[in-house]
Parts: sequence; C-alpha cells; structure tokens
Amino acid sequence: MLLDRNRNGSEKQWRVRRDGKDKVTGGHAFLTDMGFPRMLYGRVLRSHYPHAIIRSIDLSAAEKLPGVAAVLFHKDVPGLNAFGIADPNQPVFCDSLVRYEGDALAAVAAETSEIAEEALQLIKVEYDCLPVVDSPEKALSPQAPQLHPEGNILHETEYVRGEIEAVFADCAMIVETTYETPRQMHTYLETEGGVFVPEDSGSLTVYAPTQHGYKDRMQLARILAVPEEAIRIISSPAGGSFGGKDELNVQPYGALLALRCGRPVKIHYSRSESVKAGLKRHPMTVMMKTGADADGKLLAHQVDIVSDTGAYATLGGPVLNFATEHCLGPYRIPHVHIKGKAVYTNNGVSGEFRGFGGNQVIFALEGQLDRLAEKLQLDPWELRRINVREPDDPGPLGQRIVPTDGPRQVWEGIQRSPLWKKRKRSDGTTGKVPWIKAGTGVALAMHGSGLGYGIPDPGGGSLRLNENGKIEAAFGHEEFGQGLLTTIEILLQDHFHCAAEDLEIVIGDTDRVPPSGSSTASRTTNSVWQALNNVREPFLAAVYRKAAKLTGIPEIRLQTGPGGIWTTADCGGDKKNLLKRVITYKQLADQGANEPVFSTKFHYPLTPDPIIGAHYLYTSIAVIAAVEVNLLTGMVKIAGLDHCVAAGPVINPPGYLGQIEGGSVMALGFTTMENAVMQEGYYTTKNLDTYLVPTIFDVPEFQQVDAVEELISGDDFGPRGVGEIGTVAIAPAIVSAIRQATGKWLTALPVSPEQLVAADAVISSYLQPEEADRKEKGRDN
Amino acid sequence: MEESKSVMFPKSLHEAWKLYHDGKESSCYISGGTWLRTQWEANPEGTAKQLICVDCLPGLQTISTSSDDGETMVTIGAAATLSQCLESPVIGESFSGFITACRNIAAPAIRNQATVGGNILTAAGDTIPSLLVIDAQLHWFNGTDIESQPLSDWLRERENDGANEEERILVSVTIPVKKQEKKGTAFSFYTKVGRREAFIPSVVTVAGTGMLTIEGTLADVALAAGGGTTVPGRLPDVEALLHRARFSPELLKKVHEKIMTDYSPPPDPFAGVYYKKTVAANVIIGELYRLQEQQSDDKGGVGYAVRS
Amino acid sequence: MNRPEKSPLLEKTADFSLNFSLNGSQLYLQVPPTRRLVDILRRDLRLTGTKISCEIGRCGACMVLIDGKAFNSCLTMAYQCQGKQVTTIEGISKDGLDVIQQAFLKEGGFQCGYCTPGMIISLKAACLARVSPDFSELKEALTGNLCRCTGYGGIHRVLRRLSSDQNESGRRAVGKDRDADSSAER
Repeated sequence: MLLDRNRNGSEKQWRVRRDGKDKVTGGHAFLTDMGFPRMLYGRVLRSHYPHAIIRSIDLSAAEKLPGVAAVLFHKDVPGLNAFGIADPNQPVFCDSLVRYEGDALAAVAAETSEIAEEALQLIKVEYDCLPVVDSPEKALSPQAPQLHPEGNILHETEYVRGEIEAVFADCAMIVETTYETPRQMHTYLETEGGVFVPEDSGSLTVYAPTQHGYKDRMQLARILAVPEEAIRIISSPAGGSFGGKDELNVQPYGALLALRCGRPVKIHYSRSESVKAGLKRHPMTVMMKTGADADGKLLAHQVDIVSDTGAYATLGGPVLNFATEHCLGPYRIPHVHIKGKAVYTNNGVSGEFRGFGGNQVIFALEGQLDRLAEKLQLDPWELRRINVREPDDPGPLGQRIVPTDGPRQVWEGIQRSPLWKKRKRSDGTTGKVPWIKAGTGVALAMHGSGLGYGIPDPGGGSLRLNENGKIEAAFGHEEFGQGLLTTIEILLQDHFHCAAEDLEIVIGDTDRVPPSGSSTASRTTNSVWQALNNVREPFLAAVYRKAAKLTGIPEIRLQTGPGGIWTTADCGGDKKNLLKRVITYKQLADQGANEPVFSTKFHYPLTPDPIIGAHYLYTSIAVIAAVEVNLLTGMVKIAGLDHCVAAGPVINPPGYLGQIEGGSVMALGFTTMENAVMQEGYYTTKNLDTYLVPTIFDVPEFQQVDAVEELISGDDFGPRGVGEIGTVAIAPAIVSAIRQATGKWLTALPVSPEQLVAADAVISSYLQPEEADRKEKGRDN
Repeated sequence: MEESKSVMFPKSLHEAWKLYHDGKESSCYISGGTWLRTQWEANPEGTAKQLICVDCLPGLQTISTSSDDGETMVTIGAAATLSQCLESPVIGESFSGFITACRNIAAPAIRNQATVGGNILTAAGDTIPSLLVIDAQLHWFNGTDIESQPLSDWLRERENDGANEEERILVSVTIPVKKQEKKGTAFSFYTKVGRREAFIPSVVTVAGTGMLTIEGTLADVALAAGGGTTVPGRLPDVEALLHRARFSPELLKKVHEKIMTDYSPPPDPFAGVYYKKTVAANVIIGELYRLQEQQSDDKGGVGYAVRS
Repeated sequence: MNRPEKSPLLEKTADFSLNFSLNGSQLYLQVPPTRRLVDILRRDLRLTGTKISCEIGRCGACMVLIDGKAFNSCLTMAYQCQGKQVTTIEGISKDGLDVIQQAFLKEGGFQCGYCTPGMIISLKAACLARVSPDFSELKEALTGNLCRCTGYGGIHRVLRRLSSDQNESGRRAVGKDRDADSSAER
C-alpha cells in the first residue's frame, strides 16, 4: 500500500504520536534537560594528541580551583577501567597511552560548567608524541606502530564457496572496481548527555539516553564495581540516536563523579566534544570483482573489505560481519570469496550506525551490477531480475532463513513509482539550460534484522493491569524518535480494543521494565509484536476470570474494551460486538486484579545454522532516484527518491513512512555531502558549519513510499522493523542516476562536485546547438 | 571566558574610538556579533576582553537615499542588518545582485542579527562580490573624521595587510544608483556555490553587472569573484575582454580561459583550486550564455539575478 | 513559569542589569553582559523547551523570538536582549496550541522532537512577518533549522498544511502535477 494519508489513512491509523503534544510545546523533558537541586556540572578532559604516551598527569591545580568538587582520573576507577559493547577495550580514562583525539584522561565536577571548563585547563598532562596511524593502509604496513596488544587488526572475516579463480576464467564479462565510503556522523540533534544522581539508599540513578538500558547497566556496574541492581538506568527519551548512543558515552564519567561527590552531576557534551569523542560510521574501502556469463547470470564475486574502525573496538567486529554477509545482496551467486578486515587506526572511533555496514557494501555491490549491465548491454533492472534469489533459497552465507520473496516484490513494486517513467531517458538533457543534466537510477537491497547468529539476542516484555487501572505494558526498549510508543499503543489497542487512555506504556527504566534486548538492528517492532502475542492470552484469561467472578457473567461473554470489560453480543466467533461495560479496569484493579505480572522471554528469531553473524529475518527495498546535475558547478540535486519496501505488515503507517523518509535523507547526506574529514588524526569538521547534513532545501519535497505487506504463506514472523532499510540502497541509486545524467561513474562517496564539474559545460552546448536539437528530436520520436 | 568580558555602550564615534584605544584590555568593536560568537565558540581564549558596541551609535543602523548633482546614492549604515537590507524598497529596486547576496547568506535568524558591516569586515563575506561590481564605497571613522575609500581598495589593503586588525570604525557603505540608460538593457547577476543548496558558506561566489547595448555589444561590464577564505576581487582583464565585444563562442572561450588564469583562490579541505577556478569561469560564462539567449529571444527585460 | 533559580554564577560575576520581557512576564536579572540567552533560558531559568545543539547558529534548535523575529539564542548575548520581548516555545502555547503546533502533531512533523521547538519558532516568525505566507516563504523560514530524523517529509507536509497556496486541495493538485509531468515524458 502507498503510505499516503490521503489515499489510505483513517484518523485511527494516522494518529497523533503518544509523545506528540509535549514535543510541540517544549514540555517534553529530554534527559539532558533535567536538573536537580545541588547539581554539579561535569566535563571530560580529552587528549591533546591522536597518539602519544602519557608521561604524567597532574590534577593538583585543578583540584584547588574554588568551585571544583572532584577531579578524577584512571586511578579513581574502582572496577574495570574500560568499556565497549562487544569488546571492552576503550579506557574510561587513559593511563599510559592515548590512541585518538577523543580519548579521555580526566573528568571534573564543579559548581558551574564554566568552572569545570577552567579546571580542565589546569590539568597538566605531559605526553611523548608517537607517529599517527591515520589510515588502514598505514596501520597494515609492516612498520606500523601496534595500537593494541593484539595488533592493528580488530577482526577478520572470510567466506568462500565454489571455485572462484577457475570460474573467473570462464566469465564473459568481469567488472572490477574499488569503492570508498565516508566517515558519516550520526548528528543527532541532542548531543550526548545525562544526569547522574546518587540516591540516599546508596544506589545510583542514571538519566542518560542509550539504545539498551540493561546493557548500560551491565557496563556501568563493571566500571563502578557495584552490583547491577545498585544502578537504575532511565534511558528514554532520546533526541535521536541512529546507533550512535548505543555505546556508552558520558555515563562512566557522570557516574564516577556523582558517586565521588555524593551530588547529582550533569554532563552534556558540546557539539565539538560530541564530534571529537562520538562514534561515526565505518569508512570502508570495498574492492569487488564480479563476473557474469554473456546472458548476465552472475557467476563469481570476489570482495575485499577494509574498514577503518578507529581507535577502539565497540561493535567494529559485528559491523564487519554484517558487511561480509550483505555484500552478496539478494542475488544467487555460485562462486564467492569474501575477505574483510576491521583495522585499528588513530582516527575517531567507528561504531554502530543505522545500516550497520550494509550501506557501504550495498553501494559497491549495486554499482557492480550497474556496470556489468552496461558492459553486457542489458537493462540493469533486468540484470537484477535474472539473478534475484528464489523465495526458498538459503541466505547470503548459505544459512537457512525465513523464506522471502521480498526482493522480487520490491523489484516489481518500484515500477509503480511515477519516477519509473523517467527511467528510459538516456541522454540527460532536461530542456532547461544546457548544463543541467538529468538522470534516474534504481537499486535493490535485502537487509537482515536482529543481531545475527552468535550474539545473544533476547526479547521480552510484560503486561499487567496496574494499580491505577491501566493496562501496563513494559519493555526494556527505548524511544529515540522512531515512534515506538505509538507502535506499542496500536498493537495494544488491536489486542484489547481499549482506549489509548487505558494504557500505560513503560519503557527505558531498568527498575520498571523487563530485559527486552537492544533497540537496534531493526528488531524492536518485531520483538514487541512477539512479546505481546505471547502474553496476551494468559493476561486476558486472568482478567476475565477475575471479572467473571466479580460480575457473575461467564468469561466467554466478556471482552476487553474502552474503559473496562464489556459483555458481547456473540458468544463465539471472531467478531464480537460490545454491548455494555460491566466493570472498569480501575474497579478490577481495586479488587486486586493487578496481579500477577505476565512476562515473556524469548530469543529473537535465529537461523539454526551456526554461521557467525548470519541473519534469519530479512527485509527488502528498491529505490529509484532522480537527479539533476549542474555541470557548471558539479552540484547534484536530488529531484526525487521513491521507495518500495517489503517488511511485513505495517503497524504504524506514519511511523513506517517517517523511518523510510528519514533514513533515505540520512543516506542522501551520506551520498552527496557528509564526511567527517580527519587530517593526521584530527577532525577538520568540528561542528555543523563544516560537517554538513541535508537542509530542507537539499531533499525532495515528496517521497513515495510503497509498502508490500504480504509475507510468504507460512511466514508467521509478523512485522519487521524498518529503521535501517530506508538507508541502505540510496547511494547506489543516486550514483547510478548521476551516471545516466553525466556519463560518469563515481566510486567514492560523498560524490565529489570536482569530478562532475565540466570546464566545457557552456562552450560545448553553445557550439553544437543543432546537434543538440537533433538529439532532442530523436528522443521524442 | 564570557564572564570576564565587559561590554561598553558608547554614545558617539569619538567615545567608541577612545574606549578602543585607551582601554588597558584588548578590545573589539561589535555589532550583531554572529561571527564573533562563533569565533569564541571555536577558540574561547585569545578573544578580546572588552566589547565596544557600535550598533547603537546614531545612524549606523539606517538605510537612506540622497541625491547630489543628479546622482542618487544609497547609504547603508554599517550596523544595518541583512534583513533590513532585504526589506528596503530602495535596495530591492536598485541592487538586485546585492539583494540576492543577502538572501543567500545563512538563514533568516542569522540575517536578523548579522550586519552589512560585519559581513564586509570579514573580508570574505558573501555580499562583497555583489558590492564590488556596483562600486561600493566604504566610509570609516578614523578617530577624527570620516574618510571614504572604495571597497576594492580596502580589500587590496586587507589582502596585503591581513595580519593587522582594522582599527577604524566602519560607519557606512554608499552605492551609486546607476541611471537607466536608454541605449540598451542593464544586466546583473549573482551566484553563490556552496557544498549544499542552502545555509552554507560559499565555495565560489561571482557577481556581475553591465549593459547589453541595442547594437548587441556588451558595455560597462563589471565582474567579481570570491568565496571561501578568498579575499574577493574584480576581474579587470576579463572585463576588458568583454567591453564592446559581441557574443561568440570564441569570446566565451577566451573569457573562460582568462578567468581560469586570473582568478586564483587558495585551496581548502573541501575544494581544490582548479575546481574553484572552473566554477567561477563556468558560472560567469553561463550567465553570459543566458544573456545571449535572452537577447536572441528578444524579450529584453531590465535585469535579473540568479539564485544558485 | 518556573521560578528562576539562582545559580552560583550569578552571584559571582554578574555585572549587568538585564531587563526584558519573557513570554509576557517582565524579568530583571543580574547576569554577565555576554552570557548567552540560551544559557539564561536553560540554566538560569530552567526553561528547557529551547534546545541547544551546535552553539554556533548552524542548527536552529535554540531558536527564540525577539520582538517577533527569529533569533538563535546561542548567538544572542544578554545585553542584546535589553528591553526586548523574548518569546520561547513555552510562550507559544500559553493560550492553547498554536495552529503551527497542531500542524506538526497532525502531520507527524517530528520524530525525536529535539529540533521541533526551533522549527515552530521559525515558522511562527514567518507567520508574524506576513499574513498567510505561502509555501516558499514558510520553507525559506526553515533554512536554518536542521532535522535529522524526518528527512523533512513530515515537515513538508506541515508546510503544505500551513501555506496559503497549498492547503488540502492544493496538496492533491501537487500530486497530480507530478503524475502529469511524468506521463508527459513517456
């Protein structure tokens, strides 16, 4: 269905977000908006150099500054002086070596932020500078300084099937290209921050956004050397995350300072500190050699991925696993050899970011298919049809997956976009000035959801009627803008036919919610959907039993509805008409119906085949992009982006639409302008004046989003999340469109106007007006 | 740090001058402050301890018109905001390139605060190319009286003497209003190219004015280019090439080559020298191409400005 | 309105008497003259509806109205507010939700909501500057407001709903044009 309120939107489906009103009035308290009595302000001292030995750290002058409550460094960490979701190898405070510009050496809490800042400048650190390893190439050279005990390689992958070398010899056509992708910044509008409050009980309450509250609790407990139960994490709402707040950021510093001072401490990074210390998307160099027979059947595919993982691990390994799996796309390729390396450097830390390594390799893979099609003189979309997977085919790494026809569905569906009709145009002319060239491009992708084989991926949730007479659903998930609260609201109302006011939805608070796993990897919608399916029946049974006892009406005639339990007109069947409300939820609660809590725990759907990182559930997307390239300036205007997405049933149409539109524009930025430039280990782009994200003038005014909801019969896995799928196929579609407009193949992102500007843009058109005329006429016929 | 800064509110130019020169602490004149604030954010130390407000000085915020000897002049107070310029009917009627420049600087909120004087004093502001081609004059207070200087002269000084701070107070900018000549069609253009569509510092900015005579020749052509950290300047030899010339492919080619030679901006981390030269040359001959198309359409029109 | 809490800073170095109107109430504060308005609002007065993000006027999250015009409160210093009328997002809905706020709610013009107060203030300024602004005037007003979540899809829908030339019926016309345009090129 087209996600368009005018065509399919009832007010019920296009509802106002549950957190809407507070967000438009300024009443919505983000965690970085919070303040507490006697609150101190914390600041973190960052390294002066990207790579250096620390000779000494002298805190004494800072400690003496009036207004300073505490100055901490590595000796003040009671537990593990390190953090990292997958591999905790990033020091909370460096003790002997700094490995990047954002490394922390000390932290200060003071009465004001200004005093804290002044104190930082009084901390004396002596360094011995070391050579800066500012690229994976340098890191991999034999003479390179070793940045970690295990060397400069964080993680390697290899996947082989078939006989690639022999088959290349038989290929009718081979394309070999090296692609490069930029260091993209998440650029959440709310920078990292939070407030840390020591409680009278001796426990600590953390108010800081994250994508997995329980994981933060585990990591903090490890650092603070306290039991996990002594920490309460309140982690929603967040002002955007996109993967970037999944890892710890301010939490270790705020927690340590608050416990030391016995007073609340607030830390809220400035934008420049966020740029320096925060995660980025892995820059990758992806070499692909792809061969096909004369009919366009893919035969062999060789891939070599090198990712710049920066100074520390975080999820650099899993990101590389994901890239390794996704560089095969939704295609049948018999002979494959993939190698990947995640390489440590003295650059900023790369980590989790919406798309998780898929965006980089899908850009490369789709580029390969376009180039092959061109060489074989085939329609590139036809080339994809020839090679696209069958529903029952195994997944990219040969693992069993839930059968999906998504790639074929979206391959077909995108042809319903109005932009599709522009696709045949080939010479790029626009009928405007001669130097504006137009083109369209199409790309196809398949994207795994969930964390993949080898990583614990628990789901869970709970349901109860609480003492206020509300149906309370609790999940250890987070709301960072994606619209989770509304999705849960819709699911609950579908289950219980109640009013939105009858619900209390609790998330993002480890004292009140069960563990549900992370809110990442496009897993949350599905996880919540499963959890509610699991607890619905036992919950209803208990509620009806109690209501029947209290009202004397048989359970079979009872039905949850707005405000309470109703009698129904029909004793059986699916359709029941509510007749009369016989008891309110509040009355039920007052009669002790608020016990017990119905909880569920399960593992996110997982492939039975033990292949590390392999996924089981997939979503698919096809994207068509229309561009206009100005040859005078080399600037690319994205005139249109339309999408066809197959991700199962749509629960929350505006939420789904928003994820695709927003993901798409984030990827538009990745393709056309975004790059956190580093020079010799220092960020050149320190703030939003030079690190550019799209403005409202850089995006299409309308994007058509067509959702294919039908799943293959027997697929009972329900709705999949769409948080990432909108980002993964934009770059190849745009670059393909640029090729059509200008005749130039670009291999590096963001696309460079320097490569597209044409010194003869005016002269050539001026000299040959008649020829241009002829071309124009030829096309019309 | 902000807490140690003091702000002074002089009542006259003389008083402002005295505060600046007599103060024990390092001083800085300020009007809108948008540029200064961002400088402080990037570098909290090394900034002046005393700020001397000049935007409240009498007359510095006014935009006015005067006539002398049949020649009309528009005077823009140095502390007039860019928004004020956009709202001024007289500027809108007379200086379309300058208006386009103002409209393409940053965003509305910045334009409500940022001033024309501030934009000029950075020596790289986006208004400068548009002002260069309409012969803007700067008027300075030098401690005793007001002295005038063509904008182009001041820019040349800046280029050679950029390390030394300008100590005079910029009071106003005056621009002559060209009389509508009967012998042809006046044209004016301004294009800014940045790394995205809007809300973006310039990589290349070009501006031009001139006349297309009824005989089909070009006359009184003025061209300027700048962008990034480049100190903008006129392109006198290119202008000479175009004077009294007729459109031809050869002419455009020569003009392109000449701009590629004469315009020499420095590189920056986001754009190379060749790119900047090419864009400046391309955009200018693109505008000439349009002008020629317009001429062949024989529609006339009194001038137009192009938003990049 | 929140009661201004005295921050230790005010006692230490305040040397400027700031008199201004905030959301209709007259306020008198002793602050350093160069203290940023955004800090006065968020820290000193605990009015956190105004957000902080880039601190150099490049994102629009801290937008406020000063005498009815949009200003970045991160670029505006205390002395520049003297005698002025400052309105923050908290002041926009004092008498119920503004039509702009309603449009954001109905059209889903936000996700995380961090840029939203700034967006609403910028549009409010455009609506105060002229009667029934059109689509392009409203869009122009958002030049300096970045949103990272929505891709501006919902925000474009908000603009269509608010603009004089593209209301409900106008929007359908836009869709039609787009289709007509592409079929003409077939």
